[in-house]
Amino acid sequence: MVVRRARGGTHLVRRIDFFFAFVLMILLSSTSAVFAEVQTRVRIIEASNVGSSIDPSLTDVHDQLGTLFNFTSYRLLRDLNLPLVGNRPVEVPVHRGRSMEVTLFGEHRKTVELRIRIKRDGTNILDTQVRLSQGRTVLIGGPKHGEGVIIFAVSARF
Amino acid sequence: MEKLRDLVKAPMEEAAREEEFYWVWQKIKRGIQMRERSAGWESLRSWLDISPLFRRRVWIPIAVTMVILIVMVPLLFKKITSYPSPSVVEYIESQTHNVMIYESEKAKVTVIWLFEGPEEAPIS
Repeated sequence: MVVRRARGGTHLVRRIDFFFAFVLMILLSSTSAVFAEVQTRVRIIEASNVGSSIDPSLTDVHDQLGTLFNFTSYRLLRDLNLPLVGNRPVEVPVHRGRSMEVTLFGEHRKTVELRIRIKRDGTNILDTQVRLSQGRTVLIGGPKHGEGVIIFAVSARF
Repeated sequence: MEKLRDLVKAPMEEAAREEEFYWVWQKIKRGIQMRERSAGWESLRSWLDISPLFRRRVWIPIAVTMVILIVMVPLLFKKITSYPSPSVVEYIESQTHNVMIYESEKAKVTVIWLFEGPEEAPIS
């Protein structure tokens, strides 16, 4: 009698395990479907008043910033395409303890939500969350870099 | 008596040796396979069969909750499909710099500017 009860209990546990494993699989598959990969372009730019050369690939940045700042030189330091997956931060080292961390934390029909952190020696000097639509660029600038400043141009393609 | 037994046994054994048992074995084989198949089906049913639990009606609310969760989770992640505000910057914080935000709908650009940062060496 005791043996039969124990067997029945084990069987029930196996059924419950099977049921919850099935539910977990469906939950995981549904969340991964929501967070598709998003290609994010990050351009690292040095803007200064030394010289008057503007990188041909940065005319859009020059046009956008021209009304706000009087930089005469725009130099492209790096042009990166980051494949972002939901809630997985990607860190881009910039220079000597400076880095930029980008995380995709929301994806909608026409927009994506990014968390961007600019770090210096492991400390956040900027922590922001932005919502990007197709064709929109977020320029994050200001930290001094040599004779000029550094600018991050972030845009998403999805 | 022994002679009589040999007389019966010898032709019987000879007849059995010549007999074709192919169809008999085929039938036996088919019977075994059918039994195996039904045993496999029974074990699958025992795995999937939760009817005794349904009879108790304990699993019904749990199953309904799970189905609702499965449907709701993607919606929770997607949450809003359109925003009432056109603002791009949802949140911003800097403990070391003053921050300016400039948004231009015409140029589709948002500028976040950090002021009074410390001097940094150039990227080599």
